Amino acid sequence: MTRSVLVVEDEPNIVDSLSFLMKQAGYGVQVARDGDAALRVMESRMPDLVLLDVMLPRRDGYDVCRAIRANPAWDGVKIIMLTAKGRELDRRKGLELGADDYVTKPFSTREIVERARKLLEGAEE
Amino acid sequence: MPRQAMLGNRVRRLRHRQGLTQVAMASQLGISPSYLNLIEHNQRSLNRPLLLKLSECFDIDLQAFSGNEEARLLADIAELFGDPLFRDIEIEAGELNELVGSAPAACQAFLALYRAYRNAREDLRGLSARLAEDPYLAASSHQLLTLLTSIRSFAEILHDNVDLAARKRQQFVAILVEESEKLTDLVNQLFEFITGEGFQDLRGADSPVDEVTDALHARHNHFPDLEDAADAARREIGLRKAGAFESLSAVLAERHGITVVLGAQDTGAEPEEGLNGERPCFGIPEALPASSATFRVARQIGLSTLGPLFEARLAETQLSTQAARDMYRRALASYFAGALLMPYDEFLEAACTLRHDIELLGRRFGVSFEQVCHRLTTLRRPGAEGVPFHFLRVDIAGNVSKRFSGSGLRIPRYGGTCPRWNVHGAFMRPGRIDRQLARLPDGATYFCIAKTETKSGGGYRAPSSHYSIGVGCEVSFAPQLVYADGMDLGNPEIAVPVGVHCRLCERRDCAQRAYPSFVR
Repeated sequence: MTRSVLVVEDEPNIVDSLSFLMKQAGYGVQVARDGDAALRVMESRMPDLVLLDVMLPRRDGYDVCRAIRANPAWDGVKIIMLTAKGRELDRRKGLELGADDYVTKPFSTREIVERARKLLEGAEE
Repeated sequence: MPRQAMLGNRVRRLRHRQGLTQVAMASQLGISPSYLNLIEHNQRSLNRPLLLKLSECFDIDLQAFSGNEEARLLADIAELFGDPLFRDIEIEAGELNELVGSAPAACQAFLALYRAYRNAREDLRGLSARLAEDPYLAASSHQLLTLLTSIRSFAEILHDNVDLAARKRQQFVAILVEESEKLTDLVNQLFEFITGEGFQDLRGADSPVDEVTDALHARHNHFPDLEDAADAARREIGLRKAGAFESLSAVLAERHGITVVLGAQDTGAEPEEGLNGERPCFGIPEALPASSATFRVARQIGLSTLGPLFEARLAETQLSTQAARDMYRRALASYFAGALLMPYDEFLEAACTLRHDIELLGRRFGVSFEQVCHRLTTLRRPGAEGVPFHFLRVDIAGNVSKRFSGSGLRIPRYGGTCPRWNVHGAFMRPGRIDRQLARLPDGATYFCIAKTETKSGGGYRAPSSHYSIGVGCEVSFAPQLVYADGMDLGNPEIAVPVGVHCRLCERRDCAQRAYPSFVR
């Protein structure tokens, strides 16, 4: 079965690039432009991985991460946080809230694909 | 090495001033030229009989040969070498002694350079603290990051996918072009901000108080010409402690045509021009304590008589606003008033004999606690220096309204100070002298005292102002202060761990931390 990735990001161009990369890696892609939309998408169709930007309008990435981890129905969903470069605290906070990994912006496309693959393939075993 | 062993340079300078050869001077002192040579090179110490002989033969100031100044310089230089900047330089105590003994002027220059460096470093930290909090820069850096992320990812996608469909390729290239244009605009705006008004605002946002404080620091808060002017004025007026207010008011009236009106409306700084050609009036509110009233009249005499002198000092500064220049003029006038009421030599001597008992000094000179503290920071006359003190005044909300870091303790310019400083805790014991041994993260230790002062607003209905006055010195000077009596100054266990400001402090385990630290 095709694994699916939910891209949660408010910048349209970054959404485009992440969607392209994930599709190219062979995953199905869903998109949400803010935190509330992300949780709505999660309810209708649960993804295997969420690429979650921290700086989202209204409900931020940490809050979404917390909400996902608080719902037992979403157990097993992997989360990669997209944080700003040089913000060590953001990274730690994300991991403490239950994210599986993080990449810093401006990220390397190869790295983000690599990390996504690792989490998704690891889950298959 | 005893202090007397660092006096060789002084002996040599004295000999040069006298125009004597070593042979000539040695014969006057009744010692051999080679022994004198050893003294001049700090190889032999200047013992007491020889010092007395020296003062018999030449008209020297024995105080200058006490070694105090050298000891202070040595302490300053030793403190300087405690800076992490010199971490990798191993210097022994003996080497420092030699340095101070043989090249005191170079040591002073070294100190001045180091202080300039410390100030620059502090300014830089302050500036970066402000930059980090600037909302425009925060928003811009987020935009910058977003644009870079998108440009980088599309550039990599194009690079890694040579077989991309033409339509897709075209779409991605278009995004690249569009985002690059946005990036260019953003970068241009940022440059404009940094070189233009936005940044000027940020830099020019130094308050007049800060600018004036810096200008006073640049002169080490000591003005020889104002001291001279105060001495001359005191002699001319025949000023005494008793009746000082009356005699100073008389001078204002007779020589400057300004009438002092007690109990009148507070005219603040400037005498008001009388209506209908009446003489200008200088109003002093009834509620003002006698010491403050006298001080105000003395300051007004300074403003009325020393205009040209103040302008000359002003010309040496680079104060950017009219408000700062006016404030500096007033600060100089206050300096003059302090010097007039507390004559330098007499005050310095009293400070030593009374062991810096501020209340006793206040009573002796008829001035307030705060005025004494202020005057203590101005005792920087070369050759007749007092204990180097820092001084700060905070209000009950923690705002620093006066600061002078004469002891070497940094008093932050931005934001509040370390909450562990006793100048804040003093508010819990109003009116009592609070003492504290405070140790900074770099190991520098200061002995500090603090006391609250309440300034009446004038009567029951008027709100009072509450301040805490803090003064202190490097711990090695503390034995010269009556307040340190009975305190185990050498015991690191009793020193309170403090910082300068949370942002500049590395103490991660501090329970009183108010802001995150910028220090790694």
